[in-house]
Amino acid sequence: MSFLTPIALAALLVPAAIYLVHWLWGSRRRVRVPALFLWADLPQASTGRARRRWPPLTWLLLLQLLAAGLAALALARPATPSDPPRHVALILDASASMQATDVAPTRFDAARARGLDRLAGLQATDLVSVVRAGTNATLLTSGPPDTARDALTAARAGMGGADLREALALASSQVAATPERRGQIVLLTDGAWTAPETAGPLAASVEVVAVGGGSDNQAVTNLAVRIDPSGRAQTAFIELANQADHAVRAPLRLTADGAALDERQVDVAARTRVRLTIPLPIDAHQITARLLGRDSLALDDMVATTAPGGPPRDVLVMGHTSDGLQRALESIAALHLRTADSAAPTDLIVLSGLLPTQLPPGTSPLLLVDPPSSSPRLLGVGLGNGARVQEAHPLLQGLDLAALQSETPTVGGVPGWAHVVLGTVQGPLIMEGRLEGRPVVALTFDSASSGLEKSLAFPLLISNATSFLLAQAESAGATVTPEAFDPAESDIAPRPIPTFPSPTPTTAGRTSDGVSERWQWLLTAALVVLGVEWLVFARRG
Amino acid sequence: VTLSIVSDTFSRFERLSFVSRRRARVGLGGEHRSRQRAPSTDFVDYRPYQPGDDFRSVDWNIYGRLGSLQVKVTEGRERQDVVLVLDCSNSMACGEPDKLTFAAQLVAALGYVGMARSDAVRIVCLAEAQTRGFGPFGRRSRMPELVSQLAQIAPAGALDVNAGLAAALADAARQPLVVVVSDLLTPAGAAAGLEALQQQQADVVVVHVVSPDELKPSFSGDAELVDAETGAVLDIGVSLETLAAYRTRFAAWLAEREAECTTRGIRYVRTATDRPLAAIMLDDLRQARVLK
Repeated sequence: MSFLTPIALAALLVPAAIYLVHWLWGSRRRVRVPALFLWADLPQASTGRARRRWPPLTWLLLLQLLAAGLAALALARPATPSDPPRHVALILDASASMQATDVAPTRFDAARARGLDRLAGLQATDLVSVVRAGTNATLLTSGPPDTARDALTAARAGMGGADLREALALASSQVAATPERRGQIVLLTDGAWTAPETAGPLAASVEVVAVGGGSDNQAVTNLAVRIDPSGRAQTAFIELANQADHAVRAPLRLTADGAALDERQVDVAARTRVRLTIPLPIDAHQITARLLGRDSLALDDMVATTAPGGPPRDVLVMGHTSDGLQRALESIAALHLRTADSAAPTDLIVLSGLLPTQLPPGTSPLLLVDPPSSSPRLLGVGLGNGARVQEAHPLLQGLDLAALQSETPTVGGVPGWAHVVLGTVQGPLIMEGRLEGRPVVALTFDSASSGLEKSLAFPLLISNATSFLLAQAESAGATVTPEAFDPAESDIAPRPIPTFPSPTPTTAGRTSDGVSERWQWLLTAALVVLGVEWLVFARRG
Repeated sequence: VTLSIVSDTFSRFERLSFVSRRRARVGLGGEHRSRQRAPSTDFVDYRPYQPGDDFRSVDWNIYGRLGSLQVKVTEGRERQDVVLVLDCSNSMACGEPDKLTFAAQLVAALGYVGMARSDAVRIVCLAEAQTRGFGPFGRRSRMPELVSQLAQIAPAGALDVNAGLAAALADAARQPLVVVVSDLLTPAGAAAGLEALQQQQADVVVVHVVSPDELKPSFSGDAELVDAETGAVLDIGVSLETLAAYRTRFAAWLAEREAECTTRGIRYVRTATDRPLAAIMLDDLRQARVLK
């Protein structure tokens, strides 16, 4: 017990003063009598005025002394050493690897249970911040433990990695906002991540609570389908990874459009990758590769893709079609050219040399070949001249960019709906984007006059453009997953836990010394005693 | 004061009547025997006929039997003049319940008895400034008016009891029955006042009101005693010895007041304020032959 304002103990003189008043003047009682002559000259005890004597310890006097003493002690702010209120920042690793089942039911559920255990040990006055570490760090809640319990219960693991650096920074900022509390950061994780380069200065020490620890996982890390140069068959390229510390024989099943095409056992050495090549029929479209064995993480056991093959797609060509464009389109086996007089819906529309104000009906993607520069839909909006090259863009795969860059653009600016894939300082050459909600690729140069149509690059460019647009149209109709699986999460083996920097002295020094003030109780007791004293006084009259 | 008139209790007083040692003289129409022989149905005696007697009073049946003229003597009934003197000094406001409220309640009950017997009831309040009287009330129907007048009285300072009693009968001089309801708290006693009443041919009854606090004071220790009437202060250390001496003195003082009355032929009734009104009216006052 200590006193935060010890000088206020001088107020203890007040009870002494009260007792002194009683001693000096006594506690004479005023009594109204009908007639005084009956009391005159009676034998009587010595009065307080006649002789100083210690006042009798009546209830009123005792209650007054007690109330004054309690109030004086309350003024001195007595305090007892105690734990200061805490601020615990719980970082919940929500990466895809946390869905591994090497800990029942999952690593994520185990981490959540550990977090709830931590909350059970906290006081109602403590503060808890819950940070979900997914691909982005998110503050779920910051409040009393009950609120944090609800947030933890409602949290779900994601499909991507965990941005721990951002999560640590967010948790540290939350702890730093309450310097009067003893801060602590608790990281609930499986450790299946590479330590961030630097976590920066943290406001509190970091405690890592690890869950899980196995590495038994196999994954389909890649699935790609290419059409053979003959145009009569397709080939699936599959990559399998074994993240376990031992070799495994993984059963693999390949299906096309729901029908099994191939099933085989694949031997994969410990912590290595294996690439497979499997031929597919030309009409196979939806391809799925699935590992049939059981491992710790099921999320990465299946990969699906859309093959460029399948039934021919209807292509409607409008406008003036040059011979080179006609030949390029006809050379693509997966396309079937149609005339404009058919009313049936088409999969792709090619507008050559025109871009009407009213686009053709439907949602089919559009390939604009040498559109008129006067079209209002091609007016630039100040985004620059488009002098850029996206070499990795699917539209430029296998193309000689130098030959393309020698073309002369027919428009000078970049319209608002488009992104430049290839452009020069004079303007964009190849753009893609969405116009009125439909995928569009625009080739803004005159390939006929430049002679590009006679080169090998042109049919390849047209092939890339039609494949890109058809894939865009199909992906728009597919179910959109909110978050894609991060292949790096297949490696569920925990890494060494890094050493996090100690809290900076400035932030650590701001924490409270840990005392609990008790003056409220004393003041309440003094008020109660005063109330009792008043009652006693009122009853005695 | 706040009066509590309980009809059930007061209805028990309807058959009571005052006992007076004086003949009623207010007038015919009452229920008290009169000194005067008056034509009435109340037969008293026979006497021989004398010239001048009313022939209608001759008992002709006796003449037929005895052959002598005998006249029936009857007695008239008169109303009693009742004066209820209430001490309204500050000392009467002491005690729990206070003596003044108790005394006013008692005066209301006595007034009810008088009005039930068609007496002429007057009420006189003795106060420091002036003696205030109201009445007479002759019929029971005026009971609400009497209660209303009593409810307006209040403690009125210091009082010289003797002077107040001497002036109480200024308006009533026909041998009234005077009931003094007072605590008689005056150092010299109330003998002079009571004698003054007797000199006015009054039949005096003293109802001496004391409170339990006066009989047995309960406080002790250092005390500042304040006289209710004069405001004088006495610092006193009250011990058990002090209380015992007070009780002895008070008992002696009470005996003196009783002797003052009895030696003068005045009926004296002492009552405490914690005693029920019905017990006083039906027991104490009947035993003292104030009521019957």
